Amino acid sequence: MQDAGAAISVRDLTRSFDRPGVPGAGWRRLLPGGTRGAPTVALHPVSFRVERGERVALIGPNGAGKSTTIKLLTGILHPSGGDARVLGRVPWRERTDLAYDIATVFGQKSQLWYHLPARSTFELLRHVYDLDAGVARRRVGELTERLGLRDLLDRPVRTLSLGERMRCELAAALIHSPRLVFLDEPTIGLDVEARQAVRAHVRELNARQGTTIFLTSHDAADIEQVCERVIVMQAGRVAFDGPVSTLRSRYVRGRQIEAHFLVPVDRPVDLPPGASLVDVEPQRWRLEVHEAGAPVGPVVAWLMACGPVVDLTVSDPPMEDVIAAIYRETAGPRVIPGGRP
Amino acid sequence: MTPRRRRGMLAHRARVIGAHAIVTLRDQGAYLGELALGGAILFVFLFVLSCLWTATFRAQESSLLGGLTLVQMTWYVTFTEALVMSRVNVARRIDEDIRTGNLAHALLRPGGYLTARFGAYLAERLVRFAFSLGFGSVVALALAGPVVIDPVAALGAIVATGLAFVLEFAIIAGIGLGAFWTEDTSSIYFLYTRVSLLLGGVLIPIELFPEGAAIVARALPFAPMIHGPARLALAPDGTGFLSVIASLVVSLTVVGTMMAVGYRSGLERLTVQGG
Ligand SMILES: Nc1ncnc2c1ncn2[C@@H]1O[C@H](COP(=O)(O)OP(=O)(O)OP(=O)(O)O)[C@@H](O)[C@H]1O
Ligand SMILES: [Mg+2]
Repeated sequence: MQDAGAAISVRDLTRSFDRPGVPGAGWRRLLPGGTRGAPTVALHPVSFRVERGERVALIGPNGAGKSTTIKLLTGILHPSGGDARVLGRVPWRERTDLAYDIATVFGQKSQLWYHLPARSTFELLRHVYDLDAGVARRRVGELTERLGLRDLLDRPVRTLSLGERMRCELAAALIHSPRLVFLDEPTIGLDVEARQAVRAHVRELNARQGTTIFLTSHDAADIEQVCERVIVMQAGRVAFDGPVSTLRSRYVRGRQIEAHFLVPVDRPVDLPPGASLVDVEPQRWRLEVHEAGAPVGPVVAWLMACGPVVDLTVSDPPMEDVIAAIYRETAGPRVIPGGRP
Repeated sequence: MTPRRRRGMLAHRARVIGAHAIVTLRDQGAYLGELALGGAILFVFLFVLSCLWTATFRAQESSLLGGLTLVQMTWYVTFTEALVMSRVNVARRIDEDIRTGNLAHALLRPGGYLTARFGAYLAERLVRFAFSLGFGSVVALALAGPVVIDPVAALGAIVATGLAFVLEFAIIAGIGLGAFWTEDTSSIYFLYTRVSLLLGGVLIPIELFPEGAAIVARALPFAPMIHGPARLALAPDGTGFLSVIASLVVSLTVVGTMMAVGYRSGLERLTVQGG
């Protein structure tokens, strides 16, 4: 038995597709569309654990196995091997019971009835989740308040903007007060403001009710702004699992310093140890300090000595670059020493 | 703790059916247009059929054919047409759900996928049937005049119609589930509608079939679903009720079991092989 206290615990979970000899597939292989050919391994043994109340992002390049993992954890796919517990249940064996405690939001799929007001779908879901009228009314009121749905609930869903619809979509997914929410690319296609709204609501949900958040996204900001921990998958394996803050220091060994000078300054002959020039213009230099944690102070002091500095910025590379670097580095033998090209 | 009330499974399923029926009724836009077109087709069909039967009765120089008068015959085809025209193509929807992966997503909610589909089917079917029967009755009244219907016979016909609707759901949903194994379920559905037109007694009551054809028709589930309720409605009393109900129940047991087995193994295919 695995620990029933965790929100999710996964041990040596594997999944291949089109494996000949899948139980029950025998004679069907003879039919058109039946199983054939060598298996694709979508998940090599994967293990991780998510505590209740955590906010975790699962990221990785296309085909890394993120959606497969979510399908396994929600019980709509059986694994080829290994073990998993979601809120103490084996998802593929107890899918229906689990359905009452989890929610899933897919950026690309809608569960709202398109021609009807969102309220009708809420009413339907109240019966589907077997909620009392009073409980459901209170819950819808609460969600209306928090997601700002007051003017949206009675308009046909087809007349809503994508961002407005997404807010209703979130409310529909949360109507049964799930303890764990899976979000598969929840901000895809949304504009900046709508993205921020969705992120804020997901964070708030976690803060107010301790709901566990498990999301996948290709948007770096979803990860940075919503999650505290990130699991990076690469070709069906966990390549990194740790706090979002460590992600930077672990994979990007550099910080950038940009200095603006009052007057043009000659190109420097020597550089302080650990620093390299990225870009030099007469009045603007860009340097990189290698190795995370390497002191920036001496480099700044050196710059001050080079000429009259009017402005100075020290920055981490953007999250986008960090993720790109991780994908490159974990992809296999094509690793560039130092982590940056 | 999650604020939910777990009832017995059947009570919950009934609730899910009801909720899907209601939301489908609200979503009338989805099929009302189609219904209006159906009305026009129904009018043409009934007009042509009534002319054909008038000519047939005249040629046969008989006032009774298969136990029905000309007036009753017009009403018979009105009933059978209403039953056929109210058919809902659930197969197409299930097929789409399987191919687009919506089925997998539906499995993420409790209540059962087929239960939800049944609720939606029932609502749409009843609306279509009420419309077709109402509109058809006006046409029949204009073409042939009123008909006498025995209350007990009517009651029997209503029960048989209800069972027929459930049976036909099992058949059509079963065809849709074929999408787990085959590329083309729409041609199977098309075949089904043609066979049921022929063997269901839509245009001609089974009583007038050549003997061999009548035996085949009575052995298959098509006639009890179409000829059964229509003929019951025009019977002088409740005779024939038990045999129609018995065939419907037997067919429902067989088809329902097949559909349930197909659904289970389809789901296994989905969850084991990956949709
Ligand atoms: N039903 C299936 N049949 C065969 N192969 C599959 C199936 N589903 C997924 N795969 C394969 O498994 C691997 C992982 O796919 P998965 O959908 O989990 O990736 P992902 O990380 O979600 O990618 P993306 O970012 O593109 O959504 C891929 O190589 C994919 O081709
Ligand atoms: Mg995916």
